[in-house]
Amino acid sequence: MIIRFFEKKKIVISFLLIGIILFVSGDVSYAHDNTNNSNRENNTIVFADCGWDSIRIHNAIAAFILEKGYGYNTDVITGSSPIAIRGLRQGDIDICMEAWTDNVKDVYEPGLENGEIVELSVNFDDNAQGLYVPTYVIKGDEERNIEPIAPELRSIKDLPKYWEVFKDPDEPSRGRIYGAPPNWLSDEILRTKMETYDLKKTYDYFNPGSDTSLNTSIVSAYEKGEPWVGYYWDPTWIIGKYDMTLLEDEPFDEAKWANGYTCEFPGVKVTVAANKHFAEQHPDVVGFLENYETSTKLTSEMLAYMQDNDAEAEEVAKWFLEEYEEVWTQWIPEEIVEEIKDDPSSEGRWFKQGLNGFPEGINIRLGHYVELFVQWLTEHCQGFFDALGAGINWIVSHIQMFLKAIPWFIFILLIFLLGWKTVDWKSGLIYAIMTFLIGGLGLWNEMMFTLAIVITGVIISIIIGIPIGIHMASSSKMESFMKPLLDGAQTMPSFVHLIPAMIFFGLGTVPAVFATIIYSVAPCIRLTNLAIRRVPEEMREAAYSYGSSRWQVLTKVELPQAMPTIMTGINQTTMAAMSMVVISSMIGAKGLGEKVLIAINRTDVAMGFDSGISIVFLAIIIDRITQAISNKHEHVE
Amino acid sequence: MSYKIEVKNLVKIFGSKPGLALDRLSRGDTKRKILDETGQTIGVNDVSFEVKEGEIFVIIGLSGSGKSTLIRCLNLLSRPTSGEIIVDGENIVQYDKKQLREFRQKKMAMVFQQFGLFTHRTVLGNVEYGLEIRKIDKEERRKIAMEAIEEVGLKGWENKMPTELSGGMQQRVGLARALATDPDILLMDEPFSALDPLIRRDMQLELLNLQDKLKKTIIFITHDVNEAFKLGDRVAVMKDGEIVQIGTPEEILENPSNAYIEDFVQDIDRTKVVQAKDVMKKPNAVVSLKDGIKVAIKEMEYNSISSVFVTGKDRTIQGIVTIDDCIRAAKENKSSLKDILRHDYYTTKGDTYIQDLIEKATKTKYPIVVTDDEQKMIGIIVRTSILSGLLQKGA
Repeated sequence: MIIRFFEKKKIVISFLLIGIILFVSGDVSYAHDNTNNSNRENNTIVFADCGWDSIRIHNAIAAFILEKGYGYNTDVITGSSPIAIRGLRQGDIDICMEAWTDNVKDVYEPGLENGEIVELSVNFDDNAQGLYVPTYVIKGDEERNIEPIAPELRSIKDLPKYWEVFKDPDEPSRGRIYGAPPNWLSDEILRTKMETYDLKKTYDYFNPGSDTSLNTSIVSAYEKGEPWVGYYWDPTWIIGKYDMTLLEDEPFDEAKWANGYTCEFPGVKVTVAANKHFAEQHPDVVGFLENYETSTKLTSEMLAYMQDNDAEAEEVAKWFLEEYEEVWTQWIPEEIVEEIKDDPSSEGRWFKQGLNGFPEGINIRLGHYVELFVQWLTEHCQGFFDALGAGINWIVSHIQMFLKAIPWFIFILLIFLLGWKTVDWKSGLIYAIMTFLIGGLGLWNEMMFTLAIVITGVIISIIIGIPIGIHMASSSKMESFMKPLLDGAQTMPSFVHLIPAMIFFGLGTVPAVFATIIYSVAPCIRLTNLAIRRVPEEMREAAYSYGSSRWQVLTKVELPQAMPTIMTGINQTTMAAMSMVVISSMIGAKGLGEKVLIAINRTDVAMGFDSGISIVFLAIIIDRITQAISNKHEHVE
Repeated sequence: MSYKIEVKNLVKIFGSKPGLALDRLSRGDTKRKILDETGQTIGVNDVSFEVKEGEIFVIIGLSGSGKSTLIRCLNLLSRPTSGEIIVDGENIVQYDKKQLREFRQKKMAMVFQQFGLFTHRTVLGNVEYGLEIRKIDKEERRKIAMEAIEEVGLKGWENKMPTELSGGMQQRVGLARALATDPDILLMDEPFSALDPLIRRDMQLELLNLQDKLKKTIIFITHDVNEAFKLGDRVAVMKDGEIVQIGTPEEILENPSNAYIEDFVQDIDRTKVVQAKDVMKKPNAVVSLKDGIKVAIKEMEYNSISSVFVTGKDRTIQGIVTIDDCIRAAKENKSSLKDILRHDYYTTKGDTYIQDLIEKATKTKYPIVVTDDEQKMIGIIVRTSILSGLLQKGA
C-alpha cells in the first residue's frame, strides 16, 4: 500500500519534469519547424483563437465568408496570443484576425522582419487603453447601495490621494494598481508611468500573471462592489458588460509619449495577419482580408450583442452579416457577395447540426448554478472571506519574513543539516548544492516566496486535513460525503481551483494559498482516514476495554498507529502544494511559478529552464526530506 | 449466595432497527426469519447466567455462536440491546460514560485473541497502559507494571517491542497488561487460540497456576472443548446466540442436555477431563492399624476382596494388607498388622486427571488411593474404572 503512495508522488515529480521538458522542447521545435504543415488539408484555413471574445467573432465572420463565398473549410487553434503568433509564424496557424501588435511585439515584429508573416490589414486601431476604475467608485451605485468612495477621482493624477481606497491586500500600507499582463508592451509603459506619475510612492504595481486573471480580478471586485484600479482596454466584453471609467490623462502627444509616456495611450494597431507562405498560395483570401476593416465601436457593439443575448460567436457573426451588409459587402467582390447571399442553407459548417451533434435544445446549465452559488457566497460571506484572507496573509507574510531573515549561507547550511539528519550526509550535500544553484540562478527570493506559500499551505492543510480525516474514519456518513469531494478536488484540473479562489480573494498571495490548500488537503484527509481505519479493531477494543476515553484512544493508540501513513499523506500534500504553487502563479502568486509563467508568455527558453529546474530542485529537496521523515515513523508491522 | 456477575436476559441485535427485531423475537420468530425479513442479525439471544467469585467460567461455542459478542457485552464494548448485566450488585448497562470508564479501569480487564497489543509501544508501555489511563504517576505504574511482567515470566523483555516477541510471549504481555490493573474480573476472548498447541498447553497451565494465586473471576471464551473442560470450573455451551447448557465439565459430559452437546463433547478426551475425584469411590472396607489381623481377615471375607487398606489415626493411609499375608501371619500367631503392611500401592490427589493415572493403573494390582493434602484417605479408584474410561474414549 505504502509503496503505491510513493509511486504517486513520483508521478507528481515526473509531471513537473515532463512539463518543463515539453515546455522547453516545444520552444526549440518552433525554431526548426518553420514550414507549412503539409499534413493539413490544403483547403482548410486555420484561425488563431487567442481566447477573447472579439477575436472569436471576427474569426466567425471571416470563416463564414470564406466557407460560403470561397468554398474553404475552416478551423481554429486556441492558445494565448504570443503562442498564437508563434504558430502563425511557423504555419500551424494561417490567419490571426486580431493581432494586438504592441502587446505581442516580441514575437510579432521579428515575424514581420523575417518575412514569416504578413500584415494584411488593420482591423481597428481606435481602441482605448489605460487605467480604469469601476464607475461606482466615483459615482456610487444606488441600486447596489454603494457609496461613492472617491467622488473627486477624475484623472490618473488624482490617484495618489486615493491610495487608501485601493489598498493592497498583501501590503495594506500601500495601494495596488493592477498592471498589464507580463510582457505586453503596456506592461513596460505602465511601469514607467508609475515613476513618471509618482505613483510608486503610494502604490504597488501588481502583476496579474495573465489577461484572464486580470479579467477575474475585475469581475471579482465588481461583483463585490469593491474598489479596483488597473490596466484595461477596449473593446472587450468587460467594458461592454461592466460600467467602467477610464481615468483621464493628458491628450496623446508624441513628444510627451517619448518622454516617459506622460500622456494617454495611443490606440493599439490591431491587425489582420497571415502566414507568409499561406498568403502567397491564397491570393483570393488575401484579397478579402486586405479589405477587412471594422472599428472599436462596431466590435464593441458585437460584444454587447453577444453579452446581451448570451450568444455564441457564430450567432453574432450571423447577426453582423444581416445587420451590417454595407460593411462586409465592401470587403469582397460582387459575385462572392451574391454567392453568400444565394446560399440556400445560409448555414455554414459553424451552424450545422446533424445527428452527430448533440441537440442544442438540451442545455443543462450546471456551471451557471455553481456560479450563482459562488456569487451568493461572495455577497453574503464576504466578511468571513476577508477575515480568512487576513489570517492566511498574516501567516504567509510571517513565514516569509522569517525565511528572508535567515542569511543565505545559514539557510544552505540548514538544508544540508536537515538532509544529513533525515537521509544521509551525501544527500544533504546534494540538497545544499541544489539550493546554492537556485540562488546562483538569481531565484533566491522567488524560492523563498514559493517556500513560504508551500509551508503555509501545508500547515493549514494539516490543521484542516487531519481532524477531517479522523472524523471521516469514525463516521461512514462523513466518509461517503467526503469521498466524492476529495475525488473532485484531486481530479478537477488544478486550474479550476483558481477560479473560486480568485472570486473569493481576488488576485495575489491569499488566493494562491487558498487554491493550494484546496488542492493539497485531499491526500492529507484521505490518508489520515485510511490510516485510522487500518488500525486493527482489536487494538482499539483493547484501548477502550481499559477504560480509555475517545480522546485517549485517539491520541494514545490511533494517531501513533496511523502516524506512518499520515506522514506519507503529509508528504503527498507537500508535493501537491508544490505543484499547485507553480500553477497559482497564474493568479498572481509570486515566486518561481511567476517566472515560469513569464517565460511561457515570452517564450523565453533560458528563463523557463532556470525557473523550471529550480522548481524541480526545490521539489526534490522537499520531497526527499519529508519522505525521509515519514520513513522514520515507519515501525515494524 | 450472591454472584460476582449475573447476566439476565441479555439480547444483542446488530442492525439499524433493533427494536423491530426485538418485537419479533418476543413473538417467537426464528433468527433466520428475522434476518431474512428485517435484515437484523441476532447476535445474542436471551442469555442468562451467573458467575461466582473466583471461578473460571468458560463459554464455549463454534464460530458464529455469539460467544465473542457475549463477552464484549460484558464490558459494554458491544452495547446490549436489552437485558441486564449485574456486577457486584450494580447493573452496568445503566452506567453513564464516566462510570463505565471507571468500571473498565478498575473492575475488568480483557485479553484478546490476536493479543490486541499496541505495536507502537514497548512491552512495558503496553503493560502500563491501563495504569496510564488511570493517571497513576509514572514511577508507581512502572513499579506495578514490572511486577506484572515478572509474574508472567517476561522479566528482561520489558523494553522490547511486541513485534519482536513470539506469539506466546505476546499473549503473556496481554495477560500482564490485564493483571497490572488488578481487576476483579478477567475477560479472556479465545486468548490461546492463536498459539500453537504446545505453547497453548503451557499457557493453560500457567493460567491455572496464576489463578491459584490470584483467585480472579475469569470468563474465558474458547472453541476448543478440551481447553474448556480443562480450565473451566463451569462451562456454558453456546449455539446460535443462546446458551444451551451450563454445568461443570463432568455434568456436561455425563448428561449432555441435547444431541448438539452430545455431538460437541463426542470428540473430547475424557481422560483429560475426568479427575480422580470424579471416579473414586468410598472404600467399602478399611481397617485401622490397631484393629489387628483377625479384623482384617473378617473384613476381607465379608466384602469378598483380597486386600484391604489400613489407616491410622485420622484416616491417614498406612499401607495395604493382602488376604494371603494375613492368613500366613495368623498361622504364625502374629496379631499386629504392622509387620505385614505392604507399600507397593499408588496414591494420588483428587484433582489428578485420569489420563495421568493410566500408567499406574496398568502397573498395580491394587486400587489407587486418593488422598488429600494431609495424606488422609478420601477414596479409592478401582483399576477397572480407569481402564473402562479409556475404552469409552475409543467407542
